[in-house]
Amino acid sequence: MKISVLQKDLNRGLANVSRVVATRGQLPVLANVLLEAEKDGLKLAATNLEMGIREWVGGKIEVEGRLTVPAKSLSEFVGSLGGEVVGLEAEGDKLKVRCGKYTATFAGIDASEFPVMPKSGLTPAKAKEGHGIIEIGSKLVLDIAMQVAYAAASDESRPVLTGVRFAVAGDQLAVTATDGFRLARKKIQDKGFKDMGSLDGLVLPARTILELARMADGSAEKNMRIEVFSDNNQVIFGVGRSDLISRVLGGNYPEVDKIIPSEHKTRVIVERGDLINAVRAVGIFARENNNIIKFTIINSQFLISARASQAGESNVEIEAEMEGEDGEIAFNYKYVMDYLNSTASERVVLEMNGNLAPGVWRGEKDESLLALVMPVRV
Amino acid sequence: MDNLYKWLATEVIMDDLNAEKIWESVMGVMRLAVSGATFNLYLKQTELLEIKEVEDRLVCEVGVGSVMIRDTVDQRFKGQLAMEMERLTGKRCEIGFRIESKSSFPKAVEGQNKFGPLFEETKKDESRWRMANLRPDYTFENYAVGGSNQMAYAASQAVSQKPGEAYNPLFVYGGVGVGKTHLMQAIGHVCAEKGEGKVLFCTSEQFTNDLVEGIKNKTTEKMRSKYRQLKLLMIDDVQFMAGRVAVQEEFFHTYNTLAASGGQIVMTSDRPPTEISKLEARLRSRFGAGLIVDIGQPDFELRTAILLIKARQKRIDLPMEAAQLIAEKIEGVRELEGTLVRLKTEAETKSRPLDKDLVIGLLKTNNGRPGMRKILTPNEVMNAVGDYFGVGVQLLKGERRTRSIVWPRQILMFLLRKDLELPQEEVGRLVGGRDHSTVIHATEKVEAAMKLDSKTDLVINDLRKRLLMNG
Repeated sequence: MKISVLQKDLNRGLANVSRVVATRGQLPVLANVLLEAEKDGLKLAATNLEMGIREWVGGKIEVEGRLTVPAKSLSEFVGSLGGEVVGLEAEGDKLKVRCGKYTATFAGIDASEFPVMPKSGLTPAKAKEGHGIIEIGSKLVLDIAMQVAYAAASDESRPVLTGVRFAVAGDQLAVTATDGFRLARKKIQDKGFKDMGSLDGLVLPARTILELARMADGSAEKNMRIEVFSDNNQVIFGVGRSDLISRVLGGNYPEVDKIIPSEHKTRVIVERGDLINAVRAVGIFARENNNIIKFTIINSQFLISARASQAGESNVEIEAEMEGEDGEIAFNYKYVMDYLNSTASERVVLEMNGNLAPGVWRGEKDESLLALVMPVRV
Repeated sequence: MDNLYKWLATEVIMDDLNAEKIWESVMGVMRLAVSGATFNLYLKQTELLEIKEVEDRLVCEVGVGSVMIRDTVDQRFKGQLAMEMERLTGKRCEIGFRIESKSSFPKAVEGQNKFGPLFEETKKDESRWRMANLRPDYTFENYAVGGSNQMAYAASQAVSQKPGEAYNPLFVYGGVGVGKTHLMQAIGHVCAEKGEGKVLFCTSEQFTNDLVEGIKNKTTEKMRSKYRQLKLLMIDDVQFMAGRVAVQEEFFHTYNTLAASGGQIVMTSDRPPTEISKLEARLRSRFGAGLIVDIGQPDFELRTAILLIKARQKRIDLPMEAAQLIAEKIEGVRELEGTLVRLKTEAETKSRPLDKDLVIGLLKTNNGRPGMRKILTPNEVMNAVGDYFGVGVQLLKGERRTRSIVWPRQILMFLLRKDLELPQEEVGRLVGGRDHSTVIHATEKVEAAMKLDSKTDLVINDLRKRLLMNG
């Protein structure tokens, strides 16, 4: 293998792929990045077997070849180079990197040790039963990442909850994530959706969505391509010159529609900015007391309070529109903050059914995004 | 014919091909052949899903977690795996792969519904039915409906939909273990879930105890507020109130208060109100004011259905034919459950599959009705029947053929014939030297009556119970 590429391109590619490099270091080769010099350019790939990223970097290929080298050190080294053109040359299992007066040699591992990563490029002609090709706007993925994916579980005890569930009904796409304590659901209506059917019922790891959002954010492309292989439990996303390969989570996703209350006893509408400030202020005391903050609606007043036996307590009253019964409900303030930061609505609505039923949060005008937060018993 | 033998031979081999064990040994070898990290990453979570014999080769299907793992294993370890398989089984092996995401996860948490507090909507109801003193599994969903209890089921459903309006009170009676309490609690569950008001289930004994306690501690007020503000009061086995004047009086007032405030009352008993002796007339008439329904002994089909439901609850995989075998031999519902438990233990301790053979073996050692092993003499039976109907034994043996004597006499013959398993001639001789055809007629008549109306059924069951208890 002997190639020359632009430092900027190589740096971008390496930065992207090294995000999925296995950090726990089970198998040395998974900490490596695979460099494949082919006629059409240099391909970089890394995977942790759950997820994989592949990047194309244009360059001059003198000798084709394949080799893997430690991703972290290569990426850091290339990042510190100032020159324009970087030369890469394989010598046995070693990779020589040259850029101006900088040189380095990396000890690599033979490419045959690297896991086999599926290739993208499904065409309608090749698609079989259970396959699907979809194109959606990158903006949509950014929205899902910001507004929904945060609610997915981070611990692996309930694997399916670490995912984001897609459900398609007609021209409506509903995306849901929950960790069992809170839930976020976004409904997206678009006449332009085509062939979304193969997305229905998919549960994709939240991490995939977050990576994808980062990829979409860094790319100028407006659309992304999704190839669904439901027979293999696999999805390949394509954005510009990057591919992201992810598995689909198995297992039954809980019934979500059933737990979303259709009515409420108390309803409060507040300015989001006011609420964020108030929650942040009383949150100082909540930290000492299991993150519990209390919302009280009494005599047309909306009060937010937290109390810590050692540190003290805080009460904030904010202006709000209220209807229905008086009530009191306690939440983990982190969950409330997560929601408040996920929405763009200027005014948010909190609906509740007593202090034991989940509180429903939504935007005043924007009904498409909804969050459920389980109250804390106090 | 040749083909058949071949096929049979294959079947036998299939039994020997224990996929799990084979794969375990293959993995044992692979663990040594590759590095620990490689093994953990690629091979540890594979499993042998299927192994089939096709002609002289074995075709294996291996489950792997993801496409990347599949392709890597396919490329790098397939040959080695096949070689190991061949060495172990002595046959040529072909290995295929399938994505089975199940095994790629850490073992899933028991019970798929454990998704966290957001999804535990039953939690609230749980406290409600706890407070109402209900058993969690006694719901309508778990209730098998057949000819013998259809009417009672329909009435209960109506009551649970509109408590206090449909039939008030609802009085359910029937023999032991026919499902009265289950049905009553099912009503309770529906009402508790709706949360329209307080629901309470208690036995008449608990009611009595509460009253006694109240009188003793001078806190009858507390007891009154407990019982008189309910939306639904369920009293099990009201017949035990018979003869207790104070209890009946308290219940009478409770009843009136509830009825006036639109509360529903459901009661069960082992006999209809008219047959409960020492019951005050005003209570008796009130019991009859709503709807009185009976539940008969379950027939064969219903017993089978009950068995299947119980098996599902206990997570036992009970084949249909095994269920039918049990239902054929065992009549009481509680005994059915007992048999099921024993069957499960038997299957587990002997590590045998739960199938027909196991059931036959168990029923053989059991010899039909459990707990019915007491040896009775014909005289005891005669005395019991005479007692029950208030007819002298001499009259039963005598020549008189008035209705009041003929019916008990026929029942006596039936019992002697069926429960004591005496020959027809012997039965005839014992009951005043009658012809064996008379005995046949009598048994057939009683059997027919048992099928037709539940009253006869009740009488026979009562008698059987007495025979078991006396001495």
